[in-house]
Amino acid sequence: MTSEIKVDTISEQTSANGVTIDGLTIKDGNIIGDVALAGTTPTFTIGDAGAEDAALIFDGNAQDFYIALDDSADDLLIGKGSTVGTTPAISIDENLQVKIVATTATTSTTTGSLIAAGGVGIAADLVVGDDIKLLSDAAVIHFGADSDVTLTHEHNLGLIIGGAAPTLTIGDAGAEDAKIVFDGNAQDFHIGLDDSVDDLIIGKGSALGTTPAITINEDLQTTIANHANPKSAFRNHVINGDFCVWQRTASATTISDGSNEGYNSADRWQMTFGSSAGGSVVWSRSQDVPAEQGFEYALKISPSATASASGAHEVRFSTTLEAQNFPDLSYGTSAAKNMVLSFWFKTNKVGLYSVYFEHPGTGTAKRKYVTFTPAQSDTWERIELLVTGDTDTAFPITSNVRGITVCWYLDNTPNFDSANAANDWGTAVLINSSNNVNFMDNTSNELYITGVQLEVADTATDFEYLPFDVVLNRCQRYLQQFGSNTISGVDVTAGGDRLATMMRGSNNDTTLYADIPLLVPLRNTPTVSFNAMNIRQDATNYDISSFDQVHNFGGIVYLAITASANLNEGLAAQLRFTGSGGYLRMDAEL
Amino acid sequence: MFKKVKKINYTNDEGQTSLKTYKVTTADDKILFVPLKEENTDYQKILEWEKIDGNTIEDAE
Repeated sequence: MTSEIKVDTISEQTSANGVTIDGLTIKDGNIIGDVALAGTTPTFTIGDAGAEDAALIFDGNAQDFYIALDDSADDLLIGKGSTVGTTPAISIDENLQVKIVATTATTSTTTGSLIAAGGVGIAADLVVGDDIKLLSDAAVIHFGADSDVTLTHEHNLGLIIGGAAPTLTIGDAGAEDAKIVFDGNAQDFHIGLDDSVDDLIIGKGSALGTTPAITINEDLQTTIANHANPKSAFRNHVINGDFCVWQRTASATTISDGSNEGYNSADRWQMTFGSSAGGSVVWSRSQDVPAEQGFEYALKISPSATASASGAHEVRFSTTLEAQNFPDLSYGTSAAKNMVLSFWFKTNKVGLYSVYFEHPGTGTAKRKYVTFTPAQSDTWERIELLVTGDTDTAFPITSNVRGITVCWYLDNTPNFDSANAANDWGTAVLINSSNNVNFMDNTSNELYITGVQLEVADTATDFEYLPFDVVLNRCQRYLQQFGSNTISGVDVTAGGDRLATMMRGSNNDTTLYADIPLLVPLRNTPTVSFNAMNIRQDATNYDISSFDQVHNFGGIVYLAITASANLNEGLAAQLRFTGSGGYLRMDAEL
Repeated sequence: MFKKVKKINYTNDEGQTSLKTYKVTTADDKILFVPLKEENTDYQKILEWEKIDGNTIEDAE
């Protein structure tokens, strides 16, 4: 049976106990005990639509909090304390905007105004008033609906743009400049688009276009402001560094003290056995070259008789370079420039090798040597040696005499060596290291060298290949050989080949005069030598006794040639090759 | 450029006033005709060779 009690007031019967209804006690306006709203749509309403605040206060031991309606602002507030609106933490306005009120700064994932232990999803834009930090290594920012482009942190290095075709575009096709600035410690640089003139500029500083180094216009024309370009043409001061020109002979040549010594086969290269050093070597043109470097030939040297280091004995090969080809060294000034000697080298005699440099100075030669040690036996490797500039002494660079001489030593020279691994420019006669390997100690030793380059630079560049005819032309400034010549393909095999027509002199019955056109002007008036040649006049042969006069007229050398007997007056005569290997050689080497 | 000399001769008998070349016979019997020009490195070597006691340039052959 259902009972119903209807009363206006229920008051406690005894003081201080309140009124209990089915376990729920009400006393002095307080409900004592747990309260749950049950039913199908339980609803707890605070307020009656009046113009007043309504609050739910959490009365803590040390700190109170509240959830309240600030009716004057129409905001729902969650705040600290019990006074509505004084210290809110979160507010929700009538437009459902949620505000976190605290301004606590953050430097970690556990500080700040809002801390989320897990992820946060945001369906639309995110605007951040200050810094963003991704605190994990290799953190990734993904772009695109399918994360097709990524920006990935690389620990201690930087950022990687990932994707199928990573592209960083600076600018939005607007009429404004765009640039990247490299903010250096002492010097800034920039790469930028100067939109007003449609130029790409690489320059110094951060202001676009003020100090350009390289400018590329819309027609791809490139302007370099200061063309101290290490890859400028003819940067290699060594002529025939790739051993492509062998005018005298390409056959193996045995060289020893006084025999074939000096320039003997490869143009611009000579072998020296100084102070009557013993032993002998064989020079040959080898096709054992570094793989995939483009060289056709190397110089191969191998001892054919052994020798040991002694006294002032020098065993070396070298090349000497003309002074006036070095206008860019600035020697004798504080701005003296460095050079780099680079070359490909292979040997089965591994050890320390000395490379000696000499320039004539202002009367007393200046000397310097550096050393290198091949890393492995029988393995091609590129050696790069820095040759610091001589700040103390210049040498005349306006003449056609010796400038820089570069020597590779095959043994040390006890009278003139040093225990140092290198010696800087000086006048003391120190030419190699006392630790120099003795390449001459075994006839099975061999070395190969090619790609020799000496350039004014601080670091080596790739070997500068020149067209063969250019190298030959440069070599012919120092040597021209008419007749048998490995390079021109001429090989005199039978007598009678005529080189020049001559006329007899008027005052000497045995002297004839010939003008020999030169291929290029020789460096100086040449030394003349010949092989298998004679003079023929009116079906009579005459031997050549001497070349009494040699005059260098630039494009022509004028020779006075003395025959072995008187010639007929008034008849022309021939200067002829008489057989295999005939040549007329003009040597203006350094 | 020669390295070692066997002998050096004048190329004529007219004396050094009209002399234009030296005939050099090297240690390995090569014959070179060297002009009397300062920038010729062979001529420079002849001048140095001549300074050595006992070295004398011989008459023309």
